[in-house]
Amino acid sequence: MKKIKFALPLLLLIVSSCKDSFFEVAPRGQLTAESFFKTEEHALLATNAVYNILRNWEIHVFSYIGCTDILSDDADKGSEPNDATFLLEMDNLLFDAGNLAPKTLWDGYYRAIFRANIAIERIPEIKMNAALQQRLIAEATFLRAYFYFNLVRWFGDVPLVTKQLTQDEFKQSRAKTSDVYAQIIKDLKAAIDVLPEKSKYAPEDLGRATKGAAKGLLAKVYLTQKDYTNAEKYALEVINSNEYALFPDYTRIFTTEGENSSESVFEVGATVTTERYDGGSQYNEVQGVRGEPNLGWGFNRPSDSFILEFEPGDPRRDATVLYEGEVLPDGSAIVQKNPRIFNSRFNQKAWVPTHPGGNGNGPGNIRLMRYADVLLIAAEAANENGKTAVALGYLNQVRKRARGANANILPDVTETDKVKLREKIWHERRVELGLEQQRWFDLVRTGQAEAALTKHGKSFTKNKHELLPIPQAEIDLSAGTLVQNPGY
Amino acid sequence: MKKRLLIPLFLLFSWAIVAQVITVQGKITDAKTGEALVGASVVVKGTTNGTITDVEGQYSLDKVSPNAQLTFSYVGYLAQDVAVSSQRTLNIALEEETSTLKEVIVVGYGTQKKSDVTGAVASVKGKDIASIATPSVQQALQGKIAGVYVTPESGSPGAGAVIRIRGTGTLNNSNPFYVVDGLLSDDISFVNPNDVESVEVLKDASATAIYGSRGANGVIIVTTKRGKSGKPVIGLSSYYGSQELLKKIPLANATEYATLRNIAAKNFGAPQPYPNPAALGEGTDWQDEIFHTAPMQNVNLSARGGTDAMTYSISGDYFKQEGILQNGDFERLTLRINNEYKLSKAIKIGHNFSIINTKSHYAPGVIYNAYYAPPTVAPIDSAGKFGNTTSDGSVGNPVATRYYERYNDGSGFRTAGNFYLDLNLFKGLTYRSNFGLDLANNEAKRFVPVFRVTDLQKNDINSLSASRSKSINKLWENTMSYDNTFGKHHINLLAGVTAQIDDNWFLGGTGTNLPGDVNNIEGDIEDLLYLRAATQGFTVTESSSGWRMFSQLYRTNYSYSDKYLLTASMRIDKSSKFGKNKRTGIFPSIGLGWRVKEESFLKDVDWLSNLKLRGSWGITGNDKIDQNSKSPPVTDKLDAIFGNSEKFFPGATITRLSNPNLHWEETEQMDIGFEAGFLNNRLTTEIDWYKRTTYDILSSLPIPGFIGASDPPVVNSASVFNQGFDINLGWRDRTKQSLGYNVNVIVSTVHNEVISLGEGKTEIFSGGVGEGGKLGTRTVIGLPIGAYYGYKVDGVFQNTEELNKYPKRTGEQANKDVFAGDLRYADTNGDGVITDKDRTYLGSPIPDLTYTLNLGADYKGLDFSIQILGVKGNKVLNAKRLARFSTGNFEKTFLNGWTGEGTSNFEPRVTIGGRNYEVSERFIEDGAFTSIRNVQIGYTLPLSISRKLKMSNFRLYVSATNLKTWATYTGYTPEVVNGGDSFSVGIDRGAYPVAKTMTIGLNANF
Repeated sequence: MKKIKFALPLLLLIVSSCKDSFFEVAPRGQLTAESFFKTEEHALLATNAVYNILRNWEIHVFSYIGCTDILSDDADKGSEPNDATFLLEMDNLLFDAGNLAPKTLWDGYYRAIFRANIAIERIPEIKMNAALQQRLIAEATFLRAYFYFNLVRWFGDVPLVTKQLTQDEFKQSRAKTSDVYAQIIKDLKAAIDVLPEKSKYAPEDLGRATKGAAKGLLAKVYLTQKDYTNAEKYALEVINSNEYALFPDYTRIFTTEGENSSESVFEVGATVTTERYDGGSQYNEVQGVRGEPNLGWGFNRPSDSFILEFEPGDPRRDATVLYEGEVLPDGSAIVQKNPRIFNSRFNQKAWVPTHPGGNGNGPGNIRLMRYADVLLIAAEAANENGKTAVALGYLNQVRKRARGANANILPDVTETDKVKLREKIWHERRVELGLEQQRWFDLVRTGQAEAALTKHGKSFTKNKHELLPIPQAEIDLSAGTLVQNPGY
Repeated sequence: MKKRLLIPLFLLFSWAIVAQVITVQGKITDAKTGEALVGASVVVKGTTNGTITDVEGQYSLDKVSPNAQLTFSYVGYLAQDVAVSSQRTLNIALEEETSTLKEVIVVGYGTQKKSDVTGAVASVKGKDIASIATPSVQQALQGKIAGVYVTPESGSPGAGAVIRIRGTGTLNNSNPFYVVDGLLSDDISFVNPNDVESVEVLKDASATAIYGSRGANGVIIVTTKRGKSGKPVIGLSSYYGSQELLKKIPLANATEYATLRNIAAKNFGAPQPYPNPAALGEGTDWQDEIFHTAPMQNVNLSARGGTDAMTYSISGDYFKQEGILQNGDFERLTLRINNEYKLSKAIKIGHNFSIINTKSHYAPGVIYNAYYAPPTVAPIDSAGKFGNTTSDGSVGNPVATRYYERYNDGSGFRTAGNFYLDLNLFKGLTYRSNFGLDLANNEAKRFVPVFRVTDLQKNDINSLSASRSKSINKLWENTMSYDNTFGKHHINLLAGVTAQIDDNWFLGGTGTNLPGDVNNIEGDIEDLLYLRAATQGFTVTESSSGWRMFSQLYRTNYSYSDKYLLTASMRIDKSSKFGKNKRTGIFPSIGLGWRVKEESFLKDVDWLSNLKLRGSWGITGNDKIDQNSKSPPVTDKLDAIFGNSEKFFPGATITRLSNPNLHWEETEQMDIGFEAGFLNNRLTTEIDWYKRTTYDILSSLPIPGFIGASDPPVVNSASVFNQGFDINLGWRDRTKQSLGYNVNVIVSTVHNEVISLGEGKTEIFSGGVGEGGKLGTRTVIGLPIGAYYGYKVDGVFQNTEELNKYPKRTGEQANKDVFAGDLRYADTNGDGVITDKDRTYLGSPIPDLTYTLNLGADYKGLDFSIQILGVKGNKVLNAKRLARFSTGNFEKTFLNGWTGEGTSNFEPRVTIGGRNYEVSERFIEDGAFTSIRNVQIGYTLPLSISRKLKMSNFRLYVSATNLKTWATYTGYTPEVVNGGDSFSVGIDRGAYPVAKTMTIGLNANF
């Protein structure tokens, strides 16, 4: 007994001494940062994760609509008058640096850039099929350029982050707009060198970045910078690649059959199945019919100014605007008058048919660039470059498709005066790409913002409202390195 | 046995040599209650001549010399020496022992005489814990200890409390560490207040360093009741209470709301939404629709006792609380068994063990909605349907939400306790092995049926989610202690090793579109609510995490001549939360004490009953970070959709930053204190000065968005110190007429100041408020943590002249962007324009003074107590008023808004968002309050009556909690807590309000 009495504590003391392995507690059921970027599969996962963020609320949904169409003269806030007053501030140009919309976009787009940077930085570490490796890096590089292009157009000078920052790099100042554009162009050119044409992808890979998408985006970048030579060059390369064609029926582009169509240059895939709801986005819901049938929140109401822009009989108006009393595109119901909204209208391009999971999980692909957009870029650039005939050719291709079989509407444009033709091309962009979140950027790019918004009844301040305010929280967190845009 | 024989022999002997003796008789009673004391001893001083009292408290002692002294004593009472002086009858009333000198208190890994402790340790007795009607031990601690600041987490059923010991220590997690009968835990919701024997709060480093890395924010040791050998004591206690909302927020009624909406619309240039506000009348106060008077009840039954070979304590407890927010309740059943078995003279084993079963119905969170819902809408309209609140604003009808989303249930089963083995190896040397186990299983189920109140308030597809989680926390401690006295030297040595393994698992799934009658929630649908019935939208997730810790601990207690005290301790912790090279933390401490009263020059000073000086220094740590903080795992389920077949392509990537250099956060603490007792310890005082400096605070500081990480990484960042006094002053006495009374004043001061913010940092913004992610706090060197930051308000622009005269914000043009009636922000830097640089310090969320007054009295069985407490010096940021996603209802204060020149110079014209909703003085309110926290009146039956009822004690009481609060704050309560986030601790975003509770209860022992 006595021996046991003394032996026991000694034994316990020995047993309870412990090894290093005792402390190795790895994350369970999850890949660790240390074990990631080792295989080809990891490269695919990391690249897909960049595409994944394109469906997010912060990237292409509420604030995105708010800082594009609602901010422009194409749309009013919509919904019931008092819902989401911060978007009403965007609509009425009364926003300040505390508004939620710029903050959401800022945070969201930099998170997207973070994912792209990780892929670009880390995929090269992997031993894998070299061609696939180069393509995946190029896809992420294209996406990074897209994110920066939106950021620089909204905010002007922005911090230019092209790698994962370490703790001592958390202080960044705003890079000059020209530097940001230089990076965008560099990225897009790198992507163009590597990315395959759309037709070279397997059918199930449609939606990945293509050479055509990169060139189309680059054309738009150059157009924004008023480098019309390069804008024309890259737009033409897309056109002459014969990879794309206008979808025959304008009214069907935004239905399910129009997804990944011949006209699609770049679009974000979204789907909802009965098994999985997490493949959708709320892009459709926030713009859906509010009332009866109840499809969503009813934001982004097509404005009077927008409706009046259409030429008589232009079928694109009805294809873009969903009115009270109108039958839904699939014939399933009639839009009822909503007694609480005066003269409600909705963005028909965001409409999707009944699907699993409720309205919060929209299965509609988000069309970011259509071939018609490329044609109009070509037309605008060609006109600026003095090639009127070329410009008219591309412009009239777009009008012809819109016209369809009805020869009495939308006659071919024959204007040869450069200035007047420019106006016509801008008009065409507005009606062709209406409520596709292009208008605001076009207004600022072409210097029409002040005139258009003043005409629209908003109190536009020149040299202020062209850019969104840097979110106040961001300035606060930057330790004095970020300086606010003028006027805010 | 031998003694019993000896005593008569001695008596015989003494009688033989002393000639003149008398017989003394009398009764010994309790001075407080007048009750007879049974078994009290009477001894002739300096002899063994003595006796004990009978069941009536009577004694009779023969052969007493007329000039002898008699010593009257009884366990737990102060002994009295009385000169006989030829008196034949001596009736003696004994005072219960209140002196702290002989009090034994629980310290880490052992017990110590209070008088020998060199650290700042406070003790609260179990009866003072159980006397507050609350399910949470933490809540019951409120106002009982200097330097311990307790704020109710919320008024939701079964809620705990947030405790801060000596101010806010770190930016990360300032919760103290808990030890229940040797089981280490962060969550003591399994302890039922009725089972508590005592709670010790270790405040300074000398006391807490033995807990090393987990001692930095103080340690709370809970000891549960055990049996004593002797006859069984059966206890019954029960209370029933009624809770109601402490205070309603004054919100605009329908007419007022419509009027304000019209003004706001006019100010926004929109058409008037309400043509005739006056016709709308009072309308709905949604607070009345969601809150109600709710009952709470508790029954506790216990049996305690034992023999020489074993002691036992068994208790069963039932607690049920309905929430004042309708459709929520909490039910808890606790069983506790604390037994100890003596296997031999040298070997003891025992266990303290409890089993807890809880059930909760979570009330749908409609407090926010009730605050914003328009009062113009009836809860149920004339057609019997739920009223449409989304017609004006965007919040759902709270009553409809409550109805449809009520199925949200949870249940838990937890087993927590410890088993121990004590070996007495040889004189003074003891070995203890303690195995602690905390095993919890939780289940949750939530169902939302298909419903449609309005276009916005609806659910298209029903959905069910269910989850199971499990956690196991294992602790094994082996300690060796040696205690001995060599002449005037007394030593107590302790050494040990401990290992802790903590793991948890989660399994949960969701499914939608359940068929059948499941949407008819009036029906009995419980049997239908299983995930296998779902047909769509399945998700399933299983996850697990855990951490490990291994420690060595050492302590020496040394005292010389009972006057000079020394405590030195050290703990070495190794934690899995840090990388290989940063794993080890060393936490030393030293404490010194001087019992001045024991010195010869004070020994005879009668009025001074106790005087002790003490001082301590030590380092403790904090590791309250996630196991994966140093290296967050890859984020998965980031799938992309490609192709016309729209397939899911799996995606995963790194979205968070790692920090392999994470290391221990350390707190250095100094404490100087003195304890004194005067006039036979009727007047006692304890005063401590402390300074606590925390270095390399572990914190997930907000980082700029452009960094792009989805969550801020945990870093070692700032340093902060807290300095202040803990003062405790008490007076306790009993008059000759047997009126007992006591007064106790507790005052704590805290000065909280940031001394560094990590390399290269000059400020830390945090405390998100409002909808644009506006940041309400800015932490800088020289100011408190989480200090409010915003614009000062100089007034309201009264007219165009003022608009032109005073500085405006960048880009603002008079009568275009800013109008008369808008706030006039102060141009603090005097540059003629209002920019973000004009924002300034607007106050501290941390009270610099907290005070408590406890008064108690008793007279012949009646007892009365009252606790009044309050804080001063802090501000609250009322974020509810600031955040306006849509119009929403207004607080009545908006009615004072500017409507024309001279109408208001503080409250601006009514607008819905924009420039007047910056973080500014407009939303900062005084957080000071004084509250009658508890009042209690009780009556204890005289023993003569209760004994006839076969009871040894029977007491009835009524009590009121949160009876009355004096505060200028307009929200539900100024005691705002944000889950312990030091950066936003004073921001009121609309929490579950605390209730006022009236209780009636009884305690009985058989």
